[in-house]
Order: sequence, then C-alpha cells, then structure tokens
Amino acid sequence: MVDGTDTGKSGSDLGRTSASVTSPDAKSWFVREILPLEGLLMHLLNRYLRNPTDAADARQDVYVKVYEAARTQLPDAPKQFLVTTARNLVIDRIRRKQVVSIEAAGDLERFTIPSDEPGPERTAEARSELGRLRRILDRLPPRCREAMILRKIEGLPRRDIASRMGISETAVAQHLALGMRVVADELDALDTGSEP
Amino acid sequence: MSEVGEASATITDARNRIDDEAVAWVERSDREDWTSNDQAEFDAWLSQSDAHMVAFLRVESRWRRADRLAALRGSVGPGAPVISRRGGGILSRLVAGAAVVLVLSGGWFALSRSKTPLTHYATTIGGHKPIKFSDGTQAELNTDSQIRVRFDAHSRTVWVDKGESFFQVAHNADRPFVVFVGSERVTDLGTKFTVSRLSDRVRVALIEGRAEIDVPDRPEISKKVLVPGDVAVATATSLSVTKQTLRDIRDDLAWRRGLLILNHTMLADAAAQMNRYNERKIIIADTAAAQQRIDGTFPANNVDLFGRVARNILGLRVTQSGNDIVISR
Repeated sequence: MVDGTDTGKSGSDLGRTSASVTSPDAKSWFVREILPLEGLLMHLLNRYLRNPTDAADARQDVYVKVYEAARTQLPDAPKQFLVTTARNLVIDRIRRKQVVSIEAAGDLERFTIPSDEPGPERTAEARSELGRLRRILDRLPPRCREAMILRKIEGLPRRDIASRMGISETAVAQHLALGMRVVADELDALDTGSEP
Repeated sequence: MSEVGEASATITDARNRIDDEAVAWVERSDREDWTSNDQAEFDAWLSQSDAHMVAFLRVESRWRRADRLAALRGSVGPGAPVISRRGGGILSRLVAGAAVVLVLSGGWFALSRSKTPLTHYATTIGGHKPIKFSDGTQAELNTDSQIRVRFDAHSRTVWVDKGESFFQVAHNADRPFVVFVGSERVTDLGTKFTVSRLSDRVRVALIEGRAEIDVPDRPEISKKVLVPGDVAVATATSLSVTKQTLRDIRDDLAWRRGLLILNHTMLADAAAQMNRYNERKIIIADTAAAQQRIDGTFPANNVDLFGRVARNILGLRVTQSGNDIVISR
C-alpha cells in the first residue's frame, strides 16, 4: 500500500530498472485516460478521507497502482478501473483505521460511479480548456500570473521575463514553479467544491 | 496494524517531496539551457520509482496543455500583462493562503467602511496573549501570531494574519462577528472556535455553537455549515470539513495553558509543534526517529524535557547542535 513511498524514499543512487521497460503506451494511456479523471478521483477521495493531505497521498498511491497495472496490460475501462482501485485503497485504509473520516464506513456503497452515468467530470470536460486555464491564471498571485502570461502567452524565455519584470531568473523560475503546481492541481479539478 | 498508521506523515512528506521534485524537473526542462547532463540526471530520477513517473506525467502533461494559452496572444497586450483585474487581488490571497470569516448571529455580514482604526495584536515565539474586548468577546493569541481588529457600531471584524487565535464571542445579533483568514469566510453563528494560519494552510475548529464557512471570492466553492467538532481545512485549492472529537480539539487547545498534549503523535510532528513555541529548535535527524510515536503532556516551552523523554523513554540519541537539539536513532 505504501509502495510509492517506499520506492520514493529509496534515495538517489538506488536506480530501478522498472521504468525503462515501460512501454510508451502506458505513459500516454495514463496521460490520456487517467489524468483527466482527477476531478472525479479527488471528489471520491475527499469524501472518504480525513483531509486534503490524506486525499492527495491517496491520489498518488492510486496513480502508482493504476500505472503499474497499465504497464502489464492497459485496462479496458479506464474510469471503472480508476474508481475500483481508489475504492480498494479506501477500504484498505478503513480496515487499518487510517486516515478515514468517521462518516465513511457506512457510506462506501456510494463509491461506485456507474460507467454509463455521466460522472461529475463530464461537466468539467464540457467547459473549454482555454476558459479553465484563463480562470486558473486569474487566481494566481499577481507576480506569478505576470510571469505565467509572459511565458505561456507571450512565449518569452526566462531571461526576457526576468528583465521585463525586473527580477532574477531564479525568481522567475519560482513564480513559474508555483504556477505550474496550481495548473497541475486545478486543470482537471472539478469546477465546483460542492456535492454533485 | 500500527506500522501502517505510523507511516502517514512520512507518506505525506514523501509525496510532497516527489511532487516538488516533479515540478522542479518540469520547470528545468522548460528552460532553454537544458543539457545532456540534465537529461541524464533527470532519467536517473525518473527511473527510481513509478511514483516519480506518475508525478512527472501529472505535472508535465498539464503544463503542456497550458500552452493553449498562447491563443490569447494579442488579446492580452504585452504592456498590460493582466488578463482580468476583477477580484484578482483578493483572489490571489486565496492562492497564497486561504481565508476565514466568522459572522455571529445569522444574517449576512457587511464589511464596514468605518474609519474606526485597526488595532494590532501580536505575540512573539513562545508568547501567549489573552485579550478582552469591550463587548465581552475574548481572544487568546498563541505563539508567533498576529491579528488585527476593528470593532464599530455595526460590525466586529478580525483578521488573523499569522499563527493561531482562539475566540469566545459574545453574541450580538446587531454586530456580526467576522474573522478573515486569507480569503476564506466563516460566518459564525455560535461562540467558541479556534483559527490558525500556518504556512499556506488555514484551519478552523468549532467547539461550541454554529458557523458558516465560505470563500467569498470563489463562489464555486459552496458554503459549509460547521457544528461543534467540525474542523475546516483550507489550502490554496480546496476547502474541506472533517470531524474530530471535541476532546481532540480541546487537546489541541492545551496551548492556552502553556501545554502541548501529544497523543501517539509522530515525533516529526511533535517536534514541529514544539518548534512553533521555541527559538531553540528540535531537529529530527533521521526517518527512523521521525516515525517514533510519542505520548504525553509537555510544557510547550520545555525543549529539554522533550529531549529527555526522547532519550529515556523512546531510547533515541539526543545531542546538542549549537543552541538546538538533534534527535536521531
């Protein structure tokens, strides 16, 4: 269950060969089929786990499991596979009395999204990606947003962004790293924080 | 069973670190001066674990998708690198650190434009300041905390800028009590709660009464009603409410008596808590020590006692490093 962590803490010089045998299929499948479902995944995890940190931890575990499975064989029904993997992980944690909200136990049957029913992520898909990106940009701190605009809209290299903004290239990199993190967290998030 | 529970904070640390590393790699690979050395280092990192791979794919693919923003070129003038000023300043505070507002006694709060001056209150590291207001409301500032307060005839507004503050609000239907922390809003209909703002994480725990919490600048995040035992946690991107026992919440408030109550707490967390109260820091040197659990009630300012418990009860090595103490397996 903590395999992602165990390998993660294995240090810098403990190279494993696993990634090198990965077919490029697994990566592109993961990016194409699984990552856009992050809103749904987080919606489920946040409902059953204690706090956003636990949900984010679980997200990583789920992704690792799904990705590992995909390296052997690409699952036929990505959404169902993702939901089932998440569900098993949550059940596992309830069984170990770990990081689960007290309402969770009686409520697990709701953890299944029938694959033919439009899940909450459909709504998110329906919105235009550009609109989402624009809203994400609008919510960034002003200097971070400025750096992001100069990079992604104007397409300037870091050196030019630095001189335009009157800051160092290191500071530009920090602004972009923040923007990158917010984009990673929000681009496939659900649009609403409420229950669907 | 318990070894899994003990891993929880370590899992979070590892996941945060991996996410940070993934962002750092994507940022670096987005530069113009990417070298073959960078590539080799990056390949080595990527091959270390599937967790690295999925974290990287997650950041990289969405960063690529953000290239679509280039479609806005021209509509956003180069001299005016701003897409929309509307609400931007306030919204950006949510990203920097979420906010909380508590309003007493139903009804919508109206942020006063009064010219009543702001009063500042602050504590330094290790400090503790009880405050009594003229309306009967009491507040207590924990270590290293700052609040600003403005009371006038129609409203009572508090901004928690840093640290943690406990509030016991005197009810007054005509003067709503509003606490802002960053950009999130909690409307308090009840009486006792604690609000903290530590790094980019805002936490509100309700002990008595009722409260509403929302983020005024992000209407897509729906308002939530808190009842006793509810703990709302807001980060840059989310607002969620969970349950804790009142006993746990009260234990967390032991700082009001100068104490820290640790209940099977990971040593790493315990040290982080102690370090909020002391200039002398406790440094946990290795993962094995960090994962040890510690129980007990500690005077928050007694670093030496903490060290002695680590040595004598947990059997860890405790050494001095300058002014600080270092705990290791």
